[in-house]
Amino acid sequence: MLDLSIVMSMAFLVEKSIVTVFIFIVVLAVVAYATLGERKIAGYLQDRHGPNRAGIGKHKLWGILQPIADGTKFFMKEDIIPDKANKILFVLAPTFTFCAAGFIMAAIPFGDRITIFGREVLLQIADINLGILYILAIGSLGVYGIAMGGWASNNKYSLMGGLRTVSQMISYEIVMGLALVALMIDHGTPALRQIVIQQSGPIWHWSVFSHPLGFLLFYISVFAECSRMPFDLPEAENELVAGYHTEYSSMKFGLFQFGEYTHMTLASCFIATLYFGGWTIPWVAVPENPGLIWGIISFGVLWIKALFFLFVFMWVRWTLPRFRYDQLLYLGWKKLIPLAIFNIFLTAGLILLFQKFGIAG
Amino acid sequence: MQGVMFIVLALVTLFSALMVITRKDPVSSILYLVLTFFCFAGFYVLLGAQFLAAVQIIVYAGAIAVLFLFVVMMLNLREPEAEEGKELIPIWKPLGYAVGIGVGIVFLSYLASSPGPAIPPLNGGDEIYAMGRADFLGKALFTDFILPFEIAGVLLLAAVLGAVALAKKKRV
Amino acid sequence: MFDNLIAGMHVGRILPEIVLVGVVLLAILTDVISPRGKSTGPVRLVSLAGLIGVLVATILKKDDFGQAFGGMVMIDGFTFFFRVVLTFITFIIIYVSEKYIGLAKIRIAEYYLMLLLALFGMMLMVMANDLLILFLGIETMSICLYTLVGMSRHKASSNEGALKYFLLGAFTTGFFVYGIALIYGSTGSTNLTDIMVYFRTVNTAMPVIAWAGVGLILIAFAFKTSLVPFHWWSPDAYEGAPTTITAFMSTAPKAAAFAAFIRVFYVGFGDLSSGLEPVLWWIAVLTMTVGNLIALRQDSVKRMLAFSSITHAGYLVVALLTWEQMGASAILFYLVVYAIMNIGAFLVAIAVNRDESDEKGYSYEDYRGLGFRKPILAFAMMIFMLSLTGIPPTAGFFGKYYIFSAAVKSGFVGLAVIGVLNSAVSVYYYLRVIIMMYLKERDEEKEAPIFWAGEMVSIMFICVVLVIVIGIKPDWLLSIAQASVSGLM
Repeated sequence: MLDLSIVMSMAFLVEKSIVTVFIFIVVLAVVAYATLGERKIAGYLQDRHGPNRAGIGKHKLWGILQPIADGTKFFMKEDIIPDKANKILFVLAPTFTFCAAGFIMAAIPFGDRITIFGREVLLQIADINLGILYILAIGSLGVYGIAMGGWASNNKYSLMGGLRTVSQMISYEIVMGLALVALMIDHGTPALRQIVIQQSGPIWHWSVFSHPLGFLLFYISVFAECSRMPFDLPEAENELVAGYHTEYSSMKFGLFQFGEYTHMTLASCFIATLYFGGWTIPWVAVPENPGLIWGIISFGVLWIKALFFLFVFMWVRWTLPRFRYDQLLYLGWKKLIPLAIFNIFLTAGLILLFQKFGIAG
Repeated sequence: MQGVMFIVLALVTLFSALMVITRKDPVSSILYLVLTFFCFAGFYVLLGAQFLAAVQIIVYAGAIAVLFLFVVMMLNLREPEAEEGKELIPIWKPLGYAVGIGVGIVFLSYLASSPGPAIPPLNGGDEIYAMGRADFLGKALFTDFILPFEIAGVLLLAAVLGAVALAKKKRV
Repeated sequence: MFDNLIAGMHVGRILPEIVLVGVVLLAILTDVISPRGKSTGPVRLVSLAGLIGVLVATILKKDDFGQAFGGMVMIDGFTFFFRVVLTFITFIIIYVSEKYIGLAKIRIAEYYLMLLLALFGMMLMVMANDLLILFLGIETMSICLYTLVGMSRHKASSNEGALKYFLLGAFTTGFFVYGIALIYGSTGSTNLTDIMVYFRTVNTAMPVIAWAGVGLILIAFAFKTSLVPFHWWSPDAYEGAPTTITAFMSTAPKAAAFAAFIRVFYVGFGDLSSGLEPVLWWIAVLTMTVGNLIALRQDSVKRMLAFSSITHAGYLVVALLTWEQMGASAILFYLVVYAIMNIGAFLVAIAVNRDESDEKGYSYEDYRGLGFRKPILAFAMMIFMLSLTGIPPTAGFFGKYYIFSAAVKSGFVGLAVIGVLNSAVSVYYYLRVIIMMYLKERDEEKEAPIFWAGEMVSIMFICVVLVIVIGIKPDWLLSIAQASVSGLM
């Protein structure tokens, strides 16, 4: 005897699995091409070509197959584990980094519901009630991978890189959390889907317009959390050889790189979701009964926004010089955290004021 | 389903907690500690307190344990050399085991013959779910528990001042 | 809705604590705006003025008794008594410290801030009617004390004491929290009144787990009041701490811990008295005896006073055991008297000590011939030592008298006898100081200059006067103590 509820839940499981695999593939594809994009953009900014050889046969196609070539190369290279390294942690570290970055994608709303085969499917792996907190929690774990890798290598440059990661991440996580507190006060919920829907309508409904300071703080701390230029001190190559991944080679190194780009890509999605209306289109109302087309459009809209921020990541990397370590911590603790606290009070005060005078904020 | 998850979580928790105190290498200890924190978060989720679970991970696994790791790494503590000499007072170890086993027996006997906890059970899943929400917790903190909440602030102030007093450069 | 809510909280009843937090913030600000390295003076003045403010607030609210914050704290005569006593002790310590912290090379404003915050924690402890508040109070106090003990970072003994105190204290916190959890698990509440009601109803069928909770909380209290066998930290912490802090720690936190002890065990666990009796009996005997026996063998006056402080805690447990108003009032009386004579004794020890940085300081040898060299100082020390021993007509005599008579009246004759015997043993090490002062020749070559500060002298004088006045006419203090505990039972 088949219970109806089990069938329902089986269908639900299948549906969720498909959505998960689909989103996973898309994200991985974007990440793979982000590595190519980075080098292309670097080339453009430095007035050179960048990789342009790996094409199909005679057609170079701007090096379209470069990610595949890179991946193959990573797998082919000799995998070296230093003698004095802590073997288990050394192997675990890159995996952990990649997983911690990847788990973020579970909570990000990549699109609205789509209707397919008569079923309404949400383009989000899990509509977690505490979406923002979930992402903060997972994001705060990313540090372990890098710290573990740096420590397990048994190399002083790696160790320094690991140490820097820890202090940097801890400091900027606070900024990030405090910036998001202000956002959550305004939206009244940490659920990401709700936040996106609240931002639909005219373009000034986007949170970036109501939280300019919060956005700035959040954006800066995202750079630090992804350890991207100008905050890439964990791997600062002219001080620390290559920082935490000095001893890594082959696919383990590849996983670190891949993890970094995954982190960046998902962070871009997160920024778009929180401050730039997510998958909504300005002035276009969210339809009551979304069809397949709307679902695909919303999915595309989010990615357009996200790709823009991904581009900014790269643009900044090839434009700004690196901070010094003490400057980084000084900026975090003495400038950004007080500003973030001020931002919370400002937001709360303004909301109170609006409520008092009956203006919808 | 919940029962199975509880047992799995409980076993992992016990295992990782044991590893925390038996590992000689401090970094492994801390990483197992993080695993233990994770399992606690799992328990919170099972109990319907998702907010606490998230906070548990953000604060304990994401911040406190990271700072432990930072300190251990900065001091570059490796596995300690095998200690020479014997224990100062040989009776402590068996005494510790005896106390531990005694406490275990006490709790098992309680489980076997418990009159049930005096805490009133919640009315079904909805109430449990509601209690786990952030707004519920916020209301409780700012009404019934306002005094402990504020005192905790003063306590943290004291801790910060104390840390600064002990750590700041000597000025002579 | 919010107005009703706030009115139901009776925020006004914790006015002294609110004032105190305000003072702390003001003192921090003073520290920040004062010129670098010269902030201790202004901070001290702000703290002293603030403590007077706290005292005024306490007295203003002296008729506004009752629960506040939904029964989380209880403001009654008992709270009032300890608020005044604790504020006074903190005031005195802050008052005498300025010159000493220069000598001890800990001239930083945090010294005063930590004292103020410790006072805040202690005030919470004495009014806590909920284990949650009690826990927070104990933690606030303890964190400040850990810091204060470790403040002389250049001294190995200070670091050692602070580390031991901190590690064991943190461990005890674990015991305490676990105890609270078990109590909550079995009674469904952390509120002492609710706990009492629960224990009264299930008196016969107490779950094991509740007993375990009570036991763990007892351990935590035993640690905080340094009862044997949880006393290991206290001599090292007392020795390592700057001596003003030792004087503070052996009086105010001990008083606060005993106040909380009384409230938790008389109100919350009052119906378990018969079950707890044998445990506390043994703790009392062990504490009195062990503290005494080790104090006998000390060469440092500071360490001797530390161990004797353990013994005195043992006497207090004897009174606690009576589970009656009389015993409780005897404890209150004794705590005040002990604070007076102990602060006095430590101040003399500071004055006589030859070298603050020397690890071999505070030796008995420093007192050699003090009676001929500085007769007045020696006289003061003699009074304090006699009072600590419990010899009439000093205040210490009546302190012990009330305790042991309460014990005898409640049927603890054996305990009283052991207590008196222990007092007799303690004569040895207290009188040793007096013998050094009056019966040994001066050795002028080895004499160190006396460390004088006007504030210390005035406080010493007041302590001597009080010890004698209370020794001659103890009734007034006793009646205050009795009135204070009357609301408790």
